[in-house]
Amino acid sequence: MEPARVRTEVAPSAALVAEESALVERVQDGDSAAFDVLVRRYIRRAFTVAFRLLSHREDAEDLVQETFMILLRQIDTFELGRPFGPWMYRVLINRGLNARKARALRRTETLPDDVMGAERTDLAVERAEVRARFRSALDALPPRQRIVIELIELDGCTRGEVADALAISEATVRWHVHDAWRTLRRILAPLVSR
Amino acid sequence: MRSNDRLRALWRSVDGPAPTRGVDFDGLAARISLDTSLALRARRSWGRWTRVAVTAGVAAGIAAALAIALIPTPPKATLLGAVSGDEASVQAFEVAAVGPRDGEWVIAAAVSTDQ
Repeated sequence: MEPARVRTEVAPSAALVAEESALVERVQDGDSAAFDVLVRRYIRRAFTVAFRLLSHREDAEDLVQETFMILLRQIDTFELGRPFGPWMYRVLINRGLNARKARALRRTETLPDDVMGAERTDLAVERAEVRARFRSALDALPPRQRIVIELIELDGCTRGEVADALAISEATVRWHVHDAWRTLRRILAPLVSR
Repeated sequence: MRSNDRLRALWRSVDGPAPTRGVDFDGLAARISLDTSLALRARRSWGRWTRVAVTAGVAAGIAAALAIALIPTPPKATLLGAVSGDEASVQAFEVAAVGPRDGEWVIAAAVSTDQ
């Protein structure tokens, strides 16, 4: 399965930063249309990260909505001249991690079409089993490390994109990836050897 | 093939990107947009009322300060005033003595406010 690419700016261009700062200034002056532009620009990427955090579609949608409302309330604290994306992701991730801690998550298996369909072949059952093993192994990772590895391996983000989104350095992303794979290899070794 | 690559291939064969298919992003953006409009309207309204309240508060403060400044304050009790028959409270005098001295009557008093 070829992962879909999630586009985020690795190093936001000066033009983008200037444009977003102008939009934020308009929002600070009470222009809701300007905020709408920012929302539509980031909503898909925000959802992807929210889903990785909460593993539940409706919860992810709620988290995205809540995040943008928090950003709106704090819009006066936005530092003009800086990119909007990392600020948005920082609020989203902190909020999402708190939500994960605060409530027992309704974990849903996002089954692929072949399992959700009427036919439950042996192959489909085996795939579901392997997926469950992977998710169990992922649960053993620290939350941020899990997000990093999932965004890179499943959502197709580059290390630079993840670094930008999580406001960490690329070196830290590389370390998270390395450490996550070491843990996954240890836990899932029986899967590969069989 | 390195074990990472084998695991990666296996993982991607059973799991994929976040399921954005079926998510109504336009609807979600519209909900956020509605909330945004309401929040900004409330903010504008709140800002207006805040300005009104601050202006009223400052005006009331100035009026109170003026009123206090215009209230006539009673003159301080002084020895000379007391001798001349001005009103002075009993507490104003801490020491008072009246008596003859060198053939003259001397009134000596210490008034708390000007001793």
